[in-house]
Amino acid sequence: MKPPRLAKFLLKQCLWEGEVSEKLGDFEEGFYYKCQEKGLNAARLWYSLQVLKYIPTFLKNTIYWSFAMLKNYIKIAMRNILRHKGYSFINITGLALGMACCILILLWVKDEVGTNMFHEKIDSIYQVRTIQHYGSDVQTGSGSVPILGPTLREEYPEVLNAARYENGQGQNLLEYGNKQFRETCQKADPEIFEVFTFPFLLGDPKDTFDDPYVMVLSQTTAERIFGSEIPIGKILTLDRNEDFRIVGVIEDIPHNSTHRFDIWIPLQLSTKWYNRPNYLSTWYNMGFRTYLEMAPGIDVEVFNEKIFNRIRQSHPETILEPLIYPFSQVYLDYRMDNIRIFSVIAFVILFIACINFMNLSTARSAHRAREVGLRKVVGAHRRQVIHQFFGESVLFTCLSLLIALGAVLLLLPAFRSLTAKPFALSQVLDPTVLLGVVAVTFVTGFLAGSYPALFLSGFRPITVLKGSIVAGKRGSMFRKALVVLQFALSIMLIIGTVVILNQVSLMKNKNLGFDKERVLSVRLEGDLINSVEAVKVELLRNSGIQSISATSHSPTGVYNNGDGWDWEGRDPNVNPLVTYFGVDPDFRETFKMELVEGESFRPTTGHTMTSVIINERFAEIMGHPNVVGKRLSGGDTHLQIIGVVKDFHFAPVHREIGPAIVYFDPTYKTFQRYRYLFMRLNPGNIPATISHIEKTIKSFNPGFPFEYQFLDESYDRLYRGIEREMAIVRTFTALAILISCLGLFGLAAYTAERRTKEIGIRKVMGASVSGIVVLLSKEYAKWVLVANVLAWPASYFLMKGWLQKYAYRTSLGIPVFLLAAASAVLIAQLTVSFQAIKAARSNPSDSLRYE
Amino acid sequence: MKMLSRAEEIILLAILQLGDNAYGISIRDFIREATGSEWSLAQIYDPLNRLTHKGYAHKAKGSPSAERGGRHKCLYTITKEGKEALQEIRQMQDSIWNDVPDKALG
Repeated sequence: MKPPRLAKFLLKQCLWEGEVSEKLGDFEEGFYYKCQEKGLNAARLWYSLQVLKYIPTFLKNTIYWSFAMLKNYIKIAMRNILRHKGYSFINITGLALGMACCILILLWVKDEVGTNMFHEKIDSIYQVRTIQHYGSDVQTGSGSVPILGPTLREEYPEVLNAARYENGQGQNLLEYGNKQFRETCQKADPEIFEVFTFPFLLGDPKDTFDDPYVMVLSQTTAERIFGSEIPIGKILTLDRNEDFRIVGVIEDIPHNSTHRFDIWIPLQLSTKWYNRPNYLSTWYNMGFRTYLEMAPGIDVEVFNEKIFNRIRQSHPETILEPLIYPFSQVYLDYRMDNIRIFSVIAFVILFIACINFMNLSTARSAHRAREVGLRKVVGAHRRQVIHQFFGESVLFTCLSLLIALGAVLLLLPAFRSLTAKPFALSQVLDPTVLLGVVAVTFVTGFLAGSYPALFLSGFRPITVLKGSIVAGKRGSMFRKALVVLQFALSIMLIIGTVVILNQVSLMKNKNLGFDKERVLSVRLEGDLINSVEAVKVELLRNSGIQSISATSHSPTGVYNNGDGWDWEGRDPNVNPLVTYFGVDPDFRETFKMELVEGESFRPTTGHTMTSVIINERFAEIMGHPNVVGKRLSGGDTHLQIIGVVKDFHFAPVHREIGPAIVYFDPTYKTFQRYRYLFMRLNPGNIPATISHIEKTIKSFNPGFPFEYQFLDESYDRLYRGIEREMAIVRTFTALAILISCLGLFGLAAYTAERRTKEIGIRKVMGASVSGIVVLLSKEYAKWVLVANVLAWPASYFLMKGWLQKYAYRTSLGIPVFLLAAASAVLIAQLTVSFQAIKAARSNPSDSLRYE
Repeated sequence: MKMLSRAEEIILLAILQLGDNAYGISIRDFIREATGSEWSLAQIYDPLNRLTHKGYAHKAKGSPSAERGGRHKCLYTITKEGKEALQEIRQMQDSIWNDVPDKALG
């Protein structure tokens, strides 16, 4: 015969200590009578109802009394802030800084995670990927063969739509009247406007299906070309050759889209451009991206099971197997590492700031012991003291939050240029961000307030008021542990930053296998394409140009590759994916590539077969001791190897160098035609040389504006993204360390202050200033060293994991760790010694005169 | 003028009549018998609190009992001021009621 436990518990929570006994008694007696009168169940119901009815009364009373006390609490809190200005400043700004960093990074993370999510059908869009089997080697790529998308749409009802992009974008010359524009054009199926969300501002998406000579522009591009004229129906001439009709203008593509194009032209054009009628219907060319819109609720696994054999059905000798993958995941997968690193940094910074806040609050709380004692004597309950300290701490964090929000608004322009993302004010005021921030504020407040609230409130008034020591050993041990943790985190950040920096510089400075300095490139377009040899002769008249080579690709990115190569004595399991790179006989001189074996191309090949040079990696795969002179065939192409070139990087350096073929095919029978002219310049008057090049090129190709690029610059551009992210990481690591130091500074000030008398006596007894400085800073040095011991193994494993994805890794050697340790100790010592010196230099008569 | 709300008046009267046995449950029972309506404990505690704050009732610890789970009671007694307040409110009501003829109410 007991009242319901939950109701009783609830009631207990509502009552304050003094009235628990009597009121519980009343409730229980009522319950007892009710029970005798109407039975247990009725009584239990009655009891519960009574408790529920009590809640409004409780709330009313609480609020009323809280207001009375709140005024007092706020007054005391404000007095405390003002009395210890320096400490309050450190405490509040430190936390504010931490919060501001956290908010900024979270903005970045949110933006990254939201990439591509603006597409309305994002959840039903899938990317077609291809698994490639090279013998025992299996790779999954995001390329796909062109005919697969349309085939799947025909054959499977669950595929609602399919859209293809051609890999890569082309630079083209557009003419409107007498104005010329060099623009980047994307060839894609018109279905992209159905599958993806690229809203039309003008025009009708249906018109994009009309004929191959239609074009869609982004708003900005349309304005640039046509100004205030209406673009629809206007004609643009492409490469002084073909006329395109504008059928639509789309909204500018959001910055967080992985598909970026300003000009769309139909994919089917490419069959004409390349003069290959089957260009879009092969089962082997991987130079496309295919996206499918699937019926809602399909099972990806089941669908993949159905289609994995589809390419083989039509093209039995294939090594390709398709699969579909959610488009929403594609970017995230690729960026997960960075998103994780950034989120971790954000939380580490916030955590460090919180530790500061807790440390300083607890250190200072000893000063509040008397206040707590007095409050208790006057009748405060422990719960009230707890509420007071929690409230005070939340008040502090709210102040910090306000400052942090102000700081974020101030720093937003700088952060925009640091990240190259156009963050808007509205993103900061986004409800999820704000909600997260407010939650963080309260959690921080509660965490930081928990120690003083729970510890101080437990003091017995009598001990406190008698003046016994209250800040016990436990408190200082706890603080030390937090300082160690804080420094361990900072050291890990330092190590991480150094390793990432090393890795980036390793990649940037890696020997590429060719010399990228003073190499200038010009695109072959218009009439230039057919007069390469004459242009070369004309250009070389200038002594500023050392040598010239026409190529099919820029060595910063050769994307042409294929498999199915055969050679004498090939192990049937070996089927490498080989990249091919077209050059003319002068390539070796121009790029300064080294020949390991055999000979280079001769200007006029008397051979019946196309001769090629392969790289060392390919030679290694072929496994012959002497590959020069061997034949190589792929399909109906027959090649002869005449030399082996030293490995060179033809893809971003984080990828391993694969097998490659360098070909010379002046008749363009076998391979692609030349698209670039690379020129190695002599040092000296480069501007004069460039103007000579301009004159020559223009004389051969009138009507096209002259544009050029330096190879080292376009190479650096490959690393712009990673360098930008490095800058972010560096900035925030520095801030994290700054925040740690801020906390340490406050803590050192506190220790020095507590030991004022001790220092005074020591000085009177003859201690030297340096002796006291050492005494005061020794302790912190010890803890920072302990932090190192914790941080080293942790960061070793973390960074080892991070480096896995790079083919060429920087070493995780002792120097990195020693560097981090040394800088941490140094920074900590500098911070502490400022306070230590101040304390040590004080006049003992000042500190001792009150005794 | 010491104003009392109706609830306070009823409770104060209950305390007066219950003498030295006025506590939560007994007051509630008294009210049920007098008015026929069942008040929740919360409805009693609130006016009781106000009465003690205004000084019309005095609170003291009483004896514990088994049906209370061994908890002591909180006994209320009426103070001098409380009695005065009751007097006043009664006089006021009387004087108002005196001027109302019976047939006015129908």
